[in-house]
Amino acid sequence: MIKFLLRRFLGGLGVLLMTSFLSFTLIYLAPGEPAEVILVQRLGRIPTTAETNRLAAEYGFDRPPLIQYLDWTSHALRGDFGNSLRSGAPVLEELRPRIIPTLLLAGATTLFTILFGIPIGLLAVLQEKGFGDKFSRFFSLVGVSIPDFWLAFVLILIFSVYLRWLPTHGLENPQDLILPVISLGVANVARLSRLVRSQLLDTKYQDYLRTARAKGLPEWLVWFRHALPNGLIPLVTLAVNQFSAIVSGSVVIETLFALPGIGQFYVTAVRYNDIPVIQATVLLISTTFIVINLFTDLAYKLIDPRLRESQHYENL
Amino acid sequence: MRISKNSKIFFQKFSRGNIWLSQNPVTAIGICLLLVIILSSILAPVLAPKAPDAQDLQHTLALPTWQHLLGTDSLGRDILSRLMWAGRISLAIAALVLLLSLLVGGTIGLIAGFYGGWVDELCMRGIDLFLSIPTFILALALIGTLGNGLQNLALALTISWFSAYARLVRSQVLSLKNQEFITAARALGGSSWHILRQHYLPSIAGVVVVQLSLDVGSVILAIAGLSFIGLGVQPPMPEWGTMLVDARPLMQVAPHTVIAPGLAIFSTVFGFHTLSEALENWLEPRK
Repeated sequence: MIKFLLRRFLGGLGVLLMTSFLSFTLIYLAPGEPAEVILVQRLGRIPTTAETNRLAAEYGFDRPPLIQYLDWTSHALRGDFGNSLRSGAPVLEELRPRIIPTLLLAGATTLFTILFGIPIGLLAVLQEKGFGDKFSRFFSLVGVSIPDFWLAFVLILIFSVYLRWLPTHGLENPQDLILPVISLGVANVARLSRLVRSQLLDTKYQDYLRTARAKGLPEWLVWFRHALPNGLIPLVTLAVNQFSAIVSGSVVIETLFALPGIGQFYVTAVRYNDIPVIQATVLLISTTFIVINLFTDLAYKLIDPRLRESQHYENL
Repeated sequence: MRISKNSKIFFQKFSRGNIWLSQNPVTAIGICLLLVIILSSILAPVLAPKAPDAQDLQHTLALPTWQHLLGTDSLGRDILSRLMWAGRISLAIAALVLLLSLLVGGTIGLIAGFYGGWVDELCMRGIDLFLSIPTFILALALIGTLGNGLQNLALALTISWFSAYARLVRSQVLSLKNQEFITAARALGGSSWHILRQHYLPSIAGVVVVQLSLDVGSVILAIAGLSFIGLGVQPPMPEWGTMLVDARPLMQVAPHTVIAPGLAIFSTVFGFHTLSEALENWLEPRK
């Protein structure tokens, strides 16, 4: 187990190292010299060579790339990503207040997904080949096909414009999250319910369920004590996809609903070619991604004893 | 003997049903929708009733009439024509992105899986890098640094997408590697190239085609999403996502301007999803 932990941890660290390199390289991908890119942003015009050279010296762009990378990383490790090209304020300071709204949105969406995704998938299995199954399959097909931003429009049209129940933008009250969460969540519910269905269909005919029924357990207990816990374990690994889908979706949804989160911040940065902010955000997101990946692997191992065993033998 | 067996399999595949009709009605509807959309997009220059940017300032925000089948937008442009031209752009970019992704990713995957060892290790660690960040975020970062424009959009999406194909193809190659027919082909003295072409590629093709048809939908969603936040296809070029943003302030006055582009995206993605499901069932029917 410790060997496994160590290996995964080192693997994660390696990927993190590479993503930091990727984030660092971003500024070199921009057309023109980095110093020029920054000056164009700052001055709003093409800078003179003297200006470019002065800034290059000030920022250290005239040093060899490897040294620059090491310097950038060591600053990044201390939380210093430089200043935003747009506002001039330190990137981290700008980023920090954005974390909570995004966490709220992501958390609520995850909750929403689990709350609806599992029952809809379960419905399909309980009524296999019946109405529930048809409904669930149709829903998952429609759900993954609806663009989240369009769903948001339709919801705004119904609940904000016609019924005037919910606000169209902003984040002041808890109910302000309702429309964003539904818009962002439906596709995730669709994906989850589909996986729950296929997973539980495989579980449904396992011998241990027959045994449970044979010993006289009522049907609901068979499901809640045996089928669900065993059948749904593999879905733990979904957490990674879930995170990816929510982060990607939140970029658009936060912009649409004017939620002051990381996604909205990121879009603004991309619009203004604000490279230090883009670098910091990419690194923040991929770090979270890698950590979640690591924890999922670990949780999966811990929950499923069979895997624990097999890994154990593998390592011997 | 070999021929008769093959033709039997072939016959079985077809008698299992025609891909278009024998499945459930939802699939049939989805695929028909898709055909209509693809045809009307490809034939937009011929079929579209108006030019996509022709303004009719006398009939702005008109509701659907015989003259404008889906109504007009705030500049009096015919929505149906714009939808058709927009479909052309989205489908073309999606096709380009996926072809490039398949070409680059598929080649890497083939090489990694086929040679194994340190080649595999090197390729896959490189791929891990691209997989360690959500595709949409990576595409945005690239657009933010490379700048706007159709070329950069296609490039950014390809860089974000190819890694998935590398992984898919590699895992397919690995699962085939120790199968008996591959070993047999090797034992019979088949060259690597021969085995790759005659045995690996045909076996991998099915899975890849299913994945491709599924991904067209995702790429189209990504293009629309990027355009929606102003970082994809730029106006005045018609695009489904940009049409939605343009329509946003007018949502209350002219809801049809919001509904139409959304339905276009939805039907396209829906169509590709049903197509991919149908292909999957057709190639590999379960139970």
